Amino acid sequence: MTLRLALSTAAVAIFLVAAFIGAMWTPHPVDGVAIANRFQGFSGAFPLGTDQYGRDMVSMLMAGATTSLGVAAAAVLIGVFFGTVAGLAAAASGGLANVALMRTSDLVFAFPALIVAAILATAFGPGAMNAIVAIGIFNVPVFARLTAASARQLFARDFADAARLAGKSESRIALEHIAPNVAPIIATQAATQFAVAVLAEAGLSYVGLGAQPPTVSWGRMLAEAQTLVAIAPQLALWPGLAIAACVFAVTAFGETLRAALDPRSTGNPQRA
Amino acid sequence: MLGIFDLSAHVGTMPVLKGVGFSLERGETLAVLGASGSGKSLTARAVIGLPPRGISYGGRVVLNGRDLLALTERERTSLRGRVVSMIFQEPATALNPVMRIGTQIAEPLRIHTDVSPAERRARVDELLEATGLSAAGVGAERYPHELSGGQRQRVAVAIAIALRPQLVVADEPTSALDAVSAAQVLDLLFQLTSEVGAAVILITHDIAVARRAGRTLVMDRGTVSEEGATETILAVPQSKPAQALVRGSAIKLPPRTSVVGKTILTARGIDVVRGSVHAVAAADLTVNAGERLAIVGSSGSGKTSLSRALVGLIPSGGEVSLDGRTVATTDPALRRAVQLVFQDPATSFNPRHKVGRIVTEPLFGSALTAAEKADLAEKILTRVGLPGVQERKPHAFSGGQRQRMAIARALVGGPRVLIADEAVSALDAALRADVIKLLDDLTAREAIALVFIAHDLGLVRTLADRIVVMSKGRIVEDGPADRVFSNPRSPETMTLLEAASGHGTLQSATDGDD
Amino acid sequence: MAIVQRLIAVAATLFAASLLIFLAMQVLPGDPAEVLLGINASPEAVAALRAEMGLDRPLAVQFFDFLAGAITGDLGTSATYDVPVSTLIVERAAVSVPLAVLAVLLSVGIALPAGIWAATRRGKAGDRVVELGAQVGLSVPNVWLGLMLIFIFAISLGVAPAGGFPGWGNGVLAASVALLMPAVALAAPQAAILTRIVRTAVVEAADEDYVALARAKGLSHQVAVRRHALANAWAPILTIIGLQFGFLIAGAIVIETVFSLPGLGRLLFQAVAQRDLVVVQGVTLVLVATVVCVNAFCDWLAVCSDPRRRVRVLPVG
Repeated sequence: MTLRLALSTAAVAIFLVAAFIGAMWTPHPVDGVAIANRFQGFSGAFPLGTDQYGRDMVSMLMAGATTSLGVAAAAVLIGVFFGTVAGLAAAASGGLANVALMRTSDLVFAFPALIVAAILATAFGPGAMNAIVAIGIFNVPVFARLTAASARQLFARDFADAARLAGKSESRIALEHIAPNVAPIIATQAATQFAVAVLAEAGLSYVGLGAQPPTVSWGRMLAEAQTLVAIAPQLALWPGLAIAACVFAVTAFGETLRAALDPRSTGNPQRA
Repeated sequence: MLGIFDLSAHVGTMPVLKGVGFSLERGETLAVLGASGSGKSLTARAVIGLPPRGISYGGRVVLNGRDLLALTERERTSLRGRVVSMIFQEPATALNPVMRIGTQIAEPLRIHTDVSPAERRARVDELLEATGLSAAGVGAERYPHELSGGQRQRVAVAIAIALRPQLVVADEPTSALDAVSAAQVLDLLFQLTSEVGAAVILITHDIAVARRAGRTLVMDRGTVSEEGATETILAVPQSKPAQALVRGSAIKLPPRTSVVGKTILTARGIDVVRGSVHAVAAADLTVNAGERLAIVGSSGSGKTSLSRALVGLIPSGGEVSLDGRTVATTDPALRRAVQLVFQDPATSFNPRHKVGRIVTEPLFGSALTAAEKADLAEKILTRVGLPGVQERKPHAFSGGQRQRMAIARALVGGPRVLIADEAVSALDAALRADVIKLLDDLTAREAIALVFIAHDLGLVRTLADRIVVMSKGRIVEDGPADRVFSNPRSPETMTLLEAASGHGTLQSATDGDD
Repeated sequence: MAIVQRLIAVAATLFAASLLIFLAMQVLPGDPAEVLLGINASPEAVAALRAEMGLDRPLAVQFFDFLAGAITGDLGTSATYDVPVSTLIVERAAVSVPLAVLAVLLSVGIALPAGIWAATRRGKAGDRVVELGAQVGLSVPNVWLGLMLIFIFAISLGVAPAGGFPGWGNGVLAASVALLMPAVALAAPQAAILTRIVRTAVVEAADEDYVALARAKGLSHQVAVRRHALANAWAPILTIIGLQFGFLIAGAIVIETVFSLPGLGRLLFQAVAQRDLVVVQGVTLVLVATVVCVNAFCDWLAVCSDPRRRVRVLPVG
């Protein structure tokens, strides 16, 4: 268990570090065209070869990580922030607020991120910001429902009643007692949603609703590789593997985290 | 018929059962008595050759000359349900919620016999009749959620005896039921098993339940500590664990002169409405300084709702006055005067807070400095026997220690009324006695009025000055303890007393009140 | 009663969704009439066209006009194609609907047996293999899977078309073959997610006492899990199938692009690119309404699978 956690944390860290470095520096420039270097194979200078414009594949993957992971992270943060606040508020006030939350999230769930992105693109033209907003909007009810459900259970626990007997207000109880207990649940879900967001970002930028050239993103790399798939399939292979490996690592990380935080998974069976 | 030799069980490499051995004759009844963690349920599972996940058994379980643990799984499945059957503890989860009870009762017949559907239906009807379910209007077409806990355990009994087995293993079959249903289900179990000539192994932590078996086996920490005729064991227990169990069930308190002072709390016409159900209806209650008031009643009678309504934890109608002055149930003065000890030590503390912060929470809003609060907490924690624990988190403590902590939290602000809602029912008998003695001592010393909710009438008899009996949300009796026990006036009180004294249980581990 | 309440809830959600879509189109910069006539059109011509299109009326009137149209199947006329939007949608749905149905069938057809099989072998090698396969499956972006399928089966092996759609008129077989690879690419991640859901739901139910009781009655572990645990696992499984449908629709739109299928997704993108607001509005409304209805239907099935949530009239007594 700890080994799995260590491995998946390390894998996620590699992607995050690559994205951070990619924001500032890449081994080769990714914004120029160097026709002389196009379609290079593996070499010391280009470990994964080059694309049809002669750009280094490793540099492209790093720059792509910056965009893809950045968009995903921003979208999840939007969801976490607005979702937790709305969820806590709904659970604290209960009744009608809760019904309103459920109905609103049903409504939002009816709009796949892609459709929201399409509407936004019609309005403002395509761009990475659309992807962030579209994926972010979808994440808000995900976190709101999760927070509300967990918080509702916690509000009904005896320790919340004990705090009420001490004369504490519902908002103070939400802050002192509920939030610290909801936080690990949110963190775990955030990992899962981050993985989903990386996939969604890839889909959006592939169809042209996300990041636009010259910004490099994994989804755009797939789109650019499509027409060349017959002659240079490796151009599609690398970004796809990067996405899959990243999503795999983040999902595994989220799951080991969930298991580590779950008191039921201590390995000891219940005894009467 | 059944012989168990040197039975052991392991979780991974950790032993949880060691050298357990006993035998059972045809038609015999045996109680396996022990506190939680004693290994009694694992022993029960071994008898039907069905280890819980992650458990492996060693030793021999010989049924009719064949070692169950050495048989193939296919051979074992042909014995289960036909020769040996089992009843589980939790009526809420032991029946499949999406399957009609008729189908579930008929299942052993479908698995082990070739009888026609018509014959199966006839046998199901016969069993519904025998378990008294038909008489209660419960037909084969019902689903489990439409039945009460007691009715569901009757279904479990019907399933267990459907094929007239030689042995029925009942794992705490009544500990989730209230006293009245528990007594009825036990009666039914013994009557029907003796009719089909089945032996019974009754797993329990409750000596009142064990009392109904001819022979008793006392278990502690995975081993057998004592075995013999039930009467002998309960009268003169030899081993330490047996003594602790017997002692815990009969709590002796130091003599106390009851000093009932003036009225602190008066409630008039308290109403609690849950959906379309009146959980509490027009309840009147007074609490006087220094008295011990017991609120009793079966599950769902509204005891917990009433106590929570008094301190404004659930919305209610009616009027509450403190020292003769009408107050809102959320009034800070009322909350300073009345504190609560909750039932479940597992959920009554925030797992992420330290003990010091937990215990001083009722001092919120007082003018004390942090240091003064910590001093006060240390004083009260020392008095409950937990000095120097303020920096630790609650999960490091056992259930009994947690209830001590809960008492410390309730008393830290110097309340005049302490409401204890089934405060000991989640604890083992031995711990239960300790916590009750502590409650008795602390409240007597400060003349704090103690309102306690219980379904354990033995405890009520020991502790209470006055008894309030609730049934279906109404207060049906309110009077001095001696009088209520000797001369009950309402039929509901009589039913409760009958269940507890005649042949039923005096205690049960968990309660599903409200 | 319960079913009426559900229908009302669905209607309310649909109403709110259509209002949202309508309002989104209103706040968009640019005037449909201007877009239609081009930048050089005279203000008088634009005003005339606005009046003709009913754009000069109050918003509320326009909305209810749009809503009434949507209910009767009139979604307006496309500016770029100059045909009714509903005709366009029906034409394109002939590709998208079979694609989605095929993908759902594939994913459920893989996930149910795989998940149940893994659950009955909990903790054993088979379970681990399914778990790993599912984890890989849900990590793979379906665009990439589509590209790889094209590379392997169309380009390298030459056994399948690389994309495009011959139309149903040229034989059901050719059309179905053209939809097969897209459906696989679309179904794979869904199947992976669903497999895990099925496995978890069955495993959780298998831990309940009633499964232990079923074994105490004399059922083998496998049969007890299949008969008792699965019956209790339907509700969460159906709910997730419903919730995943939104992802499936989004995935279908992307996959249509990968395989150059003339479906609703392609229609939507072309409309976005050409700023054909009426088409964007119509297609999003249809897609969102489909998600809402499928969701509600799965939810209703989930409720039906659990007698505790079914409203039943109890016999008196």
